[in-house]
Amino acid sequence: MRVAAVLLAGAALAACARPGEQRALDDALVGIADDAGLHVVITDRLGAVRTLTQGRLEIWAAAPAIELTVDVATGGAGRWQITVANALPDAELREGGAPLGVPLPAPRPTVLVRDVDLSSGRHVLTVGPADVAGPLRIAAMADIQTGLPTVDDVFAAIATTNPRFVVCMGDLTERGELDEYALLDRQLTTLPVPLYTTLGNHELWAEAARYQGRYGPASFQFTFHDVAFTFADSGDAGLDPIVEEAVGEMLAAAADRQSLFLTHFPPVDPVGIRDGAFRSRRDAQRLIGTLATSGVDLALYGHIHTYAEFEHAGIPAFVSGGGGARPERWDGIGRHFLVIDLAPGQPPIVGVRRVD
Amino acid sequence: MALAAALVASPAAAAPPADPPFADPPVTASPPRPAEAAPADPPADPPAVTPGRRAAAIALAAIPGLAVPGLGARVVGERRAARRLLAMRAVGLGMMVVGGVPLLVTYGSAKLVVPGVHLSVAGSGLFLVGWWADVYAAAGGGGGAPRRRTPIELSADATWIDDAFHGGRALIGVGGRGHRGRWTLAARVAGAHAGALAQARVDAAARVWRPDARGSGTGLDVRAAIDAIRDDDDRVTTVTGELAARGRLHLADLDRALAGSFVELDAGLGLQAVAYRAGDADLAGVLISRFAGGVFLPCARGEVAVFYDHRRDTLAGGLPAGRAAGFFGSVGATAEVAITPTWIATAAVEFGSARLATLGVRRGLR
Repeated sequence: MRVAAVLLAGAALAACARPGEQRALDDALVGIADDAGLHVVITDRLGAVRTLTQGRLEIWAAAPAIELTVDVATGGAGRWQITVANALPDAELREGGAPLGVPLPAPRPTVLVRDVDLSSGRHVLTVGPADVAGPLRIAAMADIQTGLPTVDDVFAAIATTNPRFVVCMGDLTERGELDEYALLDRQLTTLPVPLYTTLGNHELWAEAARYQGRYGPASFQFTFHDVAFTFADSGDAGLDPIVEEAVGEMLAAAADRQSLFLTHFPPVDPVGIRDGAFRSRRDAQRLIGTLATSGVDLALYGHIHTYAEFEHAGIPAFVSGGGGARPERWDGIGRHFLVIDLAPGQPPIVGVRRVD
Repeated sequence: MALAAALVASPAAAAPPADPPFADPPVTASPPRPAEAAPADPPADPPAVTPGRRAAAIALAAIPGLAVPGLGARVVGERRAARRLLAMRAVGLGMMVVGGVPLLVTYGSAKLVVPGVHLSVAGSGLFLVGWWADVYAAAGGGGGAPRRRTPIELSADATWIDDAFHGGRALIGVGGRGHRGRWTLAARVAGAHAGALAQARVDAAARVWRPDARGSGTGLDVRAAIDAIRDDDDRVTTVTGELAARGRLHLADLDRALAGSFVELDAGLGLQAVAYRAGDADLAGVLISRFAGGVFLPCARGEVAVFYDHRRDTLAGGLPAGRAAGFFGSVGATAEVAITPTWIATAAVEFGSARLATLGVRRGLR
């Protein structure tokens, strides 16, 4: 009986060796919807289809520029109201390079609403701004959690720095509760630019589908102004092999341009003995080696509720966990975010801004 | 420190060294109790316990005993053992609180990590092993005794490593260990996959309390180690230096009813250098914090132990512990059994991000 108990315990431990596997598989299905005579696919999964009902299609964009492939069946042809939330304020809906549909009043700058007449057949639509090159300023933050009710303070401070958009390294909520996500969506209405994010371990207190259905995949890459932004799901304090392989391919594809890597857990804690990091340092070191061989220019992390500037494998790296979660004490930082200036051929310039 | 705290009330005298085939010098259990001992003390002979009472004691020790220290020992009449276990677990709980609460309140302040984690892990060890020892006492103990090691031991082992990224890899190792007086020196090299994974380790230790390095009973070592791992699959090479104190307490030193069980704590710091295929090398700190609890086998033939290791830089890494992922290290079990006075079989399993299983053999040279 003792042997059986040991074997059972071993089997249980072995079974949970890949806690992020299903989430990684589910990521591949994000951005696909089929209903009301429409089949919608967001290219590279750069968004979530929040609503697809007769006459209404609502998308949450996970990147500054996205592409939708819409197959319209005979029964789906007609007038559609297409809403793209979390869009750049100057984004436009286009088909074949030409603006599409009639603009309708939108509740805030980051929402694009168009009244569109869709005929049956395939439509390839794009949503994005006109600018594709030049210097770029963004803000970065993570770890909102219990600070959700007052994160509008952080958003207001971010707005004063005029970023093109915000990137977030996860832990948007404390427990992944539905009312927390609803509150986050309300708070995001105070942010005049979009926020692109991956998830953190706190989103995993509830099923990850809640996150993926709202904000898109946890691991993805987009390129804007010739800068590659690669987000990786490390919500279980490590990358699943599926994610690690995908991240390796995405980073390799971006090796000839400026490249930022973002994930929730720092692979290695800048205070090594604390180990607020990947659950396996050897897995972490393998990832850092990949970042180095792929020529990543900047790595951004959250999880630790402090600010830290450090390097791994010579790559500049930052921990910025000042989104409002309970702060680490005695670190003299509190709520904060990063302002990052990116210019072609120049190393990223990173500054930290306190909110309080 | 934790061991010292737990030993506050323990009898300290040790018998002069002897060198029987298997056993440590007889570890002093509770001293003979005079007739005028306090009424609360049990009689010198073990109390007679009916099978039903023993079964009830085991059940009580196993379940409510987690919260009521020493319950099982008390039910079988081992009141002194119960009091000692109460003290041991109270010390452990106190260390967990003193170490853990400030970390919680400061949300992992870097300034408190070293004392906080060391106290928390060592306290957890005393608390949990005290619980297990109560079950052991309730069951009547096993009558095991520490094995006395031979002056020189040579070893060979095979480790199967399975992780989500590489699948299974086999690591074949050879090593040796020598003891002289208070000193121990050990070395091991291992390799796998035609050299794609290679490990070399050198350990040195000085026994500063009960200074007989061959004894496997109560003792306190100051130890240092260099551990190098080259993993061509990961294109990473690490070299880690360790400095730590490792203490083991044979619980017979607390009460004879606990004879044969032990707790072991290991606490220290390390520094790891990492070289990648590209980019600069890195240096990172390592916090060494580990506890184990186990039993000596009858006739001093060896020991079996379970452990928790807070480190996550080892081949095992840390457990994918659900919502607590990224906080915990690995867990495992070790066993060594003397087949003859000079041939010892060894086995170990460890569960972290990777799963390790090791089988080996040691040859003792006199």
